[in-house]
Amino acid sequence: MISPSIFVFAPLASAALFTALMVVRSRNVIHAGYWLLPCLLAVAGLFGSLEAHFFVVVQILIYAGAILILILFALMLTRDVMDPKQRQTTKFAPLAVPLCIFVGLGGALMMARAPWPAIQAAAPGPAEQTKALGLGLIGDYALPFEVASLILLAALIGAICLAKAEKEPAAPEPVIDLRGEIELEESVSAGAADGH
Amino acid sequence: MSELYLTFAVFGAVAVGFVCVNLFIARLARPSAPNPDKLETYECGPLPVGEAWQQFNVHYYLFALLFVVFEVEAAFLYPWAVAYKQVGRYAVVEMLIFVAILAAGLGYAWRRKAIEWE
Repeated sequence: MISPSIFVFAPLASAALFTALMVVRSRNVIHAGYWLLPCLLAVAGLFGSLEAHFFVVVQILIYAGAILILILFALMLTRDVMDPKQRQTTKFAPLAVPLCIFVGLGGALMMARAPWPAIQAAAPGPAEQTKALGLGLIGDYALPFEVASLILLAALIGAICLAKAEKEPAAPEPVIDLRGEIELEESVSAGAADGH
Repeated sequence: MSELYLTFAVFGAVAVGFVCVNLFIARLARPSAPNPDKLETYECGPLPVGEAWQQFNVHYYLFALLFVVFEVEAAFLYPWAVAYKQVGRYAVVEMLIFVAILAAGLGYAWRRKAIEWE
């Protein structure tokens, strides 16, 4: 018997797969970054179909909101990668085909063999779920919870060190680094820059 | 699938539909005069110079990362806020440690002048 939830799962899963494929296929790295947005939202929808309500909000807020902005800003820092004519594969590309087949078939085999217990009881409501998560964070998982803040701290300090180290030697341009273009066409570029 | 998301679905459909219907009505009313000049990148009058892709200041990344770090912190605060009444003082101390570690990071960013725009 086909469960009605397949009508929710199938469109969301195919949307997630399609957009994920577009992330990898886009020649323009910024387009790839933007394709991530519907992909992450589709995953949020999958969480919703599993009735993991808190994670829907977290997925949208943190992944579709913050992490995506971080990725787009990181792309803005790059220069050579931006070129759409850049080769997108390395000499190891042919290795990817057997590897993907192996991982895909292996995963499918494992999932087909696993006994999936059918859960009869209805999932608890959003408030109960969030409360249970909070109790877990305070109680059983207090140490991982505190370690998470240390990991965030490490990311923060690492970014400050990198940003500061890169800034010191060269005289920094305030907002956008136009140096390359200014040297080429000094007079025209000055007019364009003033126009902002 | 709970009915919780029905509201979101209806809201989303109305929001998308509102934009589509309005653009369609505008399309019926507006004149159509395509011109290659209209497709130029708008650069406040002057012709655009060079590529639109610039290497941006690394400061943007730093701000985005600060944003991510403190948004993750905020996300952790929600389940804590729902649960802390049941646990009491111990929960408050635990969250204070969590926030203090990140506040130390913010203090460090402040001292290194990482949050100042130069």
